[in-house]
Parts: sequence; structure tokens; C-alpha cells
Amino acid sequence: MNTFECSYDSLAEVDTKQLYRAMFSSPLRMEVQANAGRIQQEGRESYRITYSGWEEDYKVSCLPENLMQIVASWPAVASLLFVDIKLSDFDLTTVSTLKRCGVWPRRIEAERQPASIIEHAKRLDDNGFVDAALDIVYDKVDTLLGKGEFEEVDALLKSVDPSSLSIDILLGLLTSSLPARTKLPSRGDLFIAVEKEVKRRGRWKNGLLSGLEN
Amino acid sequence: MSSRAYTASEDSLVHLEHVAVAITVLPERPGQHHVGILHKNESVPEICLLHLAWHNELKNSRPKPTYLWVTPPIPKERARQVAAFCRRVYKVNPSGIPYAFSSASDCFDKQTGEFMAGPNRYGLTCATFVLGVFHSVGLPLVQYATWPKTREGDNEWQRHIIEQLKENGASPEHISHVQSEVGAVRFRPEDVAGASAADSIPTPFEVANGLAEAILAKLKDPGNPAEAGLGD
Repeated sequence: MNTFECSYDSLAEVDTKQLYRAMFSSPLRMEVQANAGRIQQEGRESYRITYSGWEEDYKVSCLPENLMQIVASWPAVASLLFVDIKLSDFDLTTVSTLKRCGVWPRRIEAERQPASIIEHAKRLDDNGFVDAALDIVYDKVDTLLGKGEFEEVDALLKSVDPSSLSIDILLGLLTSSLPARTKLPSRGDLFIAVEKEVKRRGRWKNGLLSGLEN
Repeated sequence: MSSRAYTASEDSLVHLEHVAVAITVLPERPGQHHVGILHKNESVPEICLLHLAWHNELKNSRPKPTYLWVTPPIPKERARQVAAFCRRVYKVNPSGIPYAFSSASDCFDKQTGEFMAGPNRYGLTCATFVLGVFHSVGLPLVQYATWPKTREGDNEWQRHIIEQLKENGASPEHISHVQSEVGAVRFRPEDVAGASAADSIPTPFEVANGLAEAILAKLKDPGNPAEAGLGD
């Protein structure tokens, strides 16, 4: 089995955006999303993350701080990670942060709550990874619609506060839900709210929402 | 028409705002064109060409410099959404999309983005694939009803495709389906590129057809956009 490794040994030398860029540049990103990863502790101060692709393992070594950054910046993967170490191997801060990022140690996996894709998308968007954020929105909404879980998608749309999200994410929600618009009663209200919010921000332009109406 | 047509050289790709319609001449069949969608992922970052290359061959690869690309008249915020949908379509169609002459409208599953086979949806051409993607995100490129029912050479082209499908091992059932669609309205690659070059969408046939001629002229002579009618 071949391996691909990239290591981040010092937080001081790693620019956060550079780290994100490296993670998103992984050629196996799609495969990673379809598979699973493992987090293992290496000694006291570093972690090794192994992403299992179809044919190869991809490994990242990092400090705890970087681990948090990676997990926070890669939520689509984070929700698939299996934490292979015992709970006691993490300090409480680490566990708490991992939980907030949607990664739960196996032993309490049964208690896992669905992570908010809006929060995940917003986090990425705020860090300048707009397209990665949109991928999460499209993947999540499409997957739910494909399962016929219209009520969950409708609840998601209903929960959106347009003032807290970028126009790109708002358009992503409207576009990804467009095909099922007749089954999503809250979508019409969201459309109106988005239109109002766009105008409030002075970002209105012709054609911005064309074709997205209910 | 504004200057929104570029050759797909490295230099020109910096102008790409999320998405464009790209057209080229098929080297093995001069006079026959091929069309796809250039889309950018700024998070990676990368620019790929998503196109239906042939029966069950949906490709997403780096564009060759032989392509000419045109930015459709849509806000860049919407163009970013088209790019996101392109990534989704490629992801959920790992087995490709069949090649046939079905309608472009509502060809992707209303829930998953996957190509939707069914009684009237046997497959797409490279051109209807592009139309289908834009249609699915609420941005239809063409006014479908304005297209002529048939043009010189369309039936011959469709029969040629059927022969190619037979030679390349398409199933008898699929060939039978495609044969039943002979005579369907044909949207040519240059029609789609022409529609994308219009000042607004959806584009009626007469406008798209006129712009298609200019685009084909520029494909023949990429160094002379003004002569082709695509310059400033």
C-alpha cells in the first residue's frame, strides 16, 4: 500500500490558510469523503490522521492545534472520522473541540447529533473556502432529497437566518433545493427573505435570483 | 455582443469567473464540434472541463487549449452555483451518462442531480448535457420552442451516431431507444455556445444561430476575434 504524507510540525510555521489549502488540494478529497479516516495520537504532542482511499492511505501528522484546524476546515470529512483512540487519550479541551466540529469518539457515537451543515458551511465560507462550503451544502441537500427526507430539508431551510450567511451560501441553499421546491413549503419564505437581505446589503443585481423562485 | 469568448490558453483561464461554455472542433471529424462546461473550484483551486464525451463517458478533466470558451450572461454569484452543480453532477454519475437524443429539460433527477433515465429520457448529447446542467439550476440557456424541428444534416448525424453506438458496443435495448428518438430536435454544440454568448438568456434560435457562426469563425481563426464578430 502506498502512502502520501504531509506533515505540519510547527504551528508557528504553518499559515492557517496554507494548511487549509493543503488539505483541500488532496487528490483524494472526494474519495476521503466517501470513506473514513482515523485519528491516532503520536506521542504526547502530535496526532496522525489517516484517510483511507480506495487504494492508498493518506496520512497527515500534526500538532493538536493543527488537528483542530483541519477538522474545523474539513467538516465533510470530519463527520466520517473514526476516532481510534480511547477517550482518555484526549484531554477534555480536545474532546470538546472535536465534538463541536462534529467528530465524536466511537464510544459515544450513539449519542451523535446531526451536525449543522449551515455551521460547517459558514465556517468554511468565513475562511475563504466558498466553493468547499457550497459542496457541503449541495452534497447534504441532495443526499437528503435523494432519500425523500423533504421535511428535514424544509426544516433546514426554515432554520436559516439570511442575515448571518453570505449571499453565496444563501444562493447555494436556494439552488440545491430548487428541484424539490414544490415539496418544501419553507423555501418560498426563504426566497423572499434572501431577496430582502440581498437588497438590504446593496448587492441586488438583475438576474441574481432569476429562476430560483418557488 | 460583448467580448466574452476566449481560447482556452493558460493566460485566458485567469478571466474565467466560475463557469463557461467551451467548444472545440473534433479532430477526427472536421466540421463536427464538441461542447462542455468549464468550471472553477477556487477552494482547490482547479479548473476542469465537464463534458459528455460519449456514451457513458462523462469526463471532468483539464481543458485543452483547442477549446474556445464563452461566459454566459449570468451574475457571477449564479455562475459559482453552476460550478457547484457541475461538481455534484460529476460526483453522482460515476458510471457516466448514456448518449441519446432526449430533451435537455429536467434531465437530472429532481432530488439527486443524477441523470434521470426514464420513458422519455434515454440519454443526452454533449450539447443537451450542457443545456441540462444550466436548466437544472434555473438558468435555461435557450428558448427550446424556437428551435427548428429539423435542419439539413440532422437526421444523417443522428443515424451516424446510432451506427457509432452499435460499433462501440451499446446494448441493443439502448440502440432501440435511441432509434426511437431519431427526428428529435437537435441542439448543436455551436448552438449552445452561441446561446451562451448572447446578451441575455434564454436565447432564441435566431440569435444563437447568428452568434454560433461568429464562434465557429473564431474557432477557425482564434487570433482574429474582431473579424469573427466576437471582439470589442
